[in-house]
Amino acid sequence: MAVASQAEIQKSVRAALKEGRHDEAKVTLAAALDRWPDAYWMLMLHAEVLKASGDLAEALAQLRAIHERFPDKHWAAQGVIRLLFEEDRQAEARAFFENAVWTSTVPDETKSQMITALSPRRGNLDETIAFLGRLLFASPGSPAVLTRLAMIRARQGLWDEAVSLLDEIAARGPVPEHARAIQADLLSGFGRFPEMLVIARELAAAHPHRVDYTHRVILALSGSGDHQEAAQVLKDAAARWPGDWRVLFRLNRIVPVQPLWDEAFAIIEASFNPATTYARSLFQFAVASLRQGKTEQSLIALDAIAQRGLASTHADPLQHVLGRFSPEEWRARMRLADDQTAEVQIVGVEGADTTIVIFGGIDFGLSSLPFGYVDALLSSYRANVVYLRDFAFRAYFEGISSLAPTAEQTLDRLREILERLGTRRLITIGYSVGGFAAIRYGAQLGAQAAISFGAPTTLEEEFEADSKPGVGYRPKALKRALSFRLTDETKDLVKDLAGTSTRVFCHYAAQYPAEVAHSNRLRDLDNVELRPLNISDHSVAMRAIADGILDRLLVEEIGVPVK
Amino acid sequence: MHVESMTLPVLASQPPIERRMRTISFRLRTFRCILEMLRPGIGGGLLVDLGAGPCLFAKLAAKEDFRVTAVDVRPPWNIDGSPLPLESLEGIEFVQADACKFDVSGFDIVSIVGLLYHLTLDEQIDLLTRCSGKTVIIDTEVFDDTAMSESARERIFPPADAREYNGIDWLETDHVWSSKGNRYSFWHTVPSLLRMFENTGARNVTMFGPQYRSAHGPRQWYLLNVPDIAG
Repeated sequence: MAVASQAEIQKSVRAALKEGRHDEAKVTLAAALDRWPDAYWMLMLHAEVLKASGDLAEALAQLRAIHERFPDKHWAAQGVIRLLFEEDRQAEARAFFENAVWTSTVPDETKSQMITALSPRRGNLDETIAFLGRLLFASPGSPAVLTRLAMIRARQGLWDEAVSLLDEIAARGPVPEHARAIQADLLSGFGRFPEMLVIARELAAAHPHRVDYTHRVILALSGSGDHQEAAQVLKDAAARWPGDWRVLFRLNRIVPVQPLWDEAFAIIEASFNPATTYARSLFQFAVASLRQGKTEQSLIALDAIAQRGLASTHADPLQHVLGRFSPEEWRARMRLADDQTAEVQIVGVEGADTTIVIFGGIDFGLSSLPFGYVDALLSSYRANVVYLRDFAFRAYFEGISSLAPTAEQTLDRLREILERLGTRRLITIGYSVGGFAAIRYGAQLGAQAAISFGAPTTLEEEFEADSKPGVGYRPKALKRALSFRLTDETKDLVKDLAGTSTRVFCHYAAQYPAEVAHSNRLRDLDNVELRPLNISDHSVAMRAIADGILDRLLVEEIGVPVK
Repeated sequence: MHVESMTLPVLASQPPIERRMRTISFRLRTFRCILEMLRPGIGGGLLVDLGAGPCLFAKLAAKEDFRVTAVDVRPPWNIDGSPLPLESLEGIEFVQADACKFDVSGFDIVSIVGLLYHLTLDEQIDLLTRCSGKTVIIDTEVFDDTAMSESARERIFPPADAREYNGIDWLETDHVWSSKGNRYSFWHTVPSLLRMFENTGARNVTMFGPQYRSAHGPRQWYLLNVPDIAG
């Protein structure tokens, strides 16, 4: 009769376990252990049988004993940790790892995977950080531990520390690839775009099918000021992923270098199908269409969102605003051939002594509304309008490059423009970081009124972190990156408003903690009026336009003459 | 074992649905492409869909004129986890049984879509050995340390017993989409997966590109033992 091999016995024991025949498994195993009392995998199978039979304490004891007997083989130690982990005995699992595994000869990859499993980014993070700290104490500079610590710090919103940790790893050797994308995101948050670009290019080259990596390349190129290549990469991405919302999102936020920008849109447009396009892409497509002056097409995209019953905090008010006029009337009212490549455009009105200066935001319009459409709305007023964009993505802090090389000289040039227009009364308007600029430039230019929507009031990074706990490393990268370029004196709007006669109308989302926190910083200033809107997101400008709040403010409170 | 790569004419477009549904839609379209390659007739067109779950793939195969048996350890369920009425499975024979033990000998094509990575290594080897020589459609997660999401990384354990294979143990949940009966499953790297195919008797493998992504990381479609390639 053929004698069963160890492998055959193991297979039959496992089969018995799977079918719940535990006693049979034990008998078979006992006989096998008599024959092979020192066989490592047979001993391990014994622990498996004990565990399957519900005798966890014995299973643990068996695994510990195997580990002591065969310290050079790591599977028993690993088994102890897994068993403790499954039993939710995390502290014991960590202690065993520290004592029996961390400084042992267990392969680095195995250790690294265990560290990750034992330090999830949820639960008591203080204990997790203490655990990782103890590992670092035993093995200073361990890339595996530093990487994990960086991931947790990033999740906590502690960007500085996360970046420092990743820098520390990079100084010793390559950062693990899985952490590279997060490193790139963190670097963008610190305005370190050239470094981000190196990583983003490497990731995109290694994983050409990943649209998110290409997205990072475009962002890094824009941040580094290489707008030509950003547009080229975007056009290539449009050909590969025409319906992807990230490509559309980036299309709406890069400097529109021509003809690449129009060509990228044309590629996307050619494959656009409102019935099959993802909702998030639909909104970005609607905005992109508006920037091309294609009102009907934008409405089709917005209507597709509405038809699916999807509530959209940005699409709904945009659709509402567009519904104010027919597409033909929008076109008829636009006095402006909206040149997306121009940083400054001026609409002069014969005999007007009021000038409105609009500070475009990060997508170069007033919120989602391109300047052509803003102009159609403002055409009701007897007022000159100056439209501004900042292609340097510095929220006008460093001026407007096509006007002058510095903010001071940009102010001089703006004064000249205002004088040329015969301005006796100035009103500035802006959204988000454009709102910050509207207040600052408004105060410095002696505006009667500065109107802001969802604007930060300081770019102090600590304040950002305080007001958005747990946001993480993705959003608000631009504002954060800006804060690192600014001196302390230039970060805070409160100083600008002291001693100025400019009235500030500060609109913010009453249920959005970050906007509330920023607005509250101006609460004690006599010349500031806080205007909360009962919403919970960053769509305050579009809401104010859709609900007629901006019109009423301009006419009834500020007294802008209507034609 | 002959291995070749092929790109299917399936666009990873983004229909008006949320991420998970988007992925399912892509998988269904890919599955249809593969079925179309097989439709001219492998045997009598008898297809068994193992781990059928909500029976989406079984229904599609039935629509493509295959004679379909769907097997799952749980009663049929909808993609939201709610029970699926048997009446909705017209044209499909549903068998509630452990897919790992189901006798596949009477079938021409075995569909292992979204199942392999929910099994232990032993179960995978056993299942594929029993499928040896048959045409097998596989859609599975694969392990790539550079491409796993951070949340997925927290469910990874070093393998308890990988033998000659490479990969990781994956911590299963109790969710209806997850496995039933095993706390951990085994996820191969691509080379390891191909090695297992070869070791379990596959004569040829077609890898369908490109890989696509789930919430966890990369996934890929494979077709084993296509007759015209095997010759």
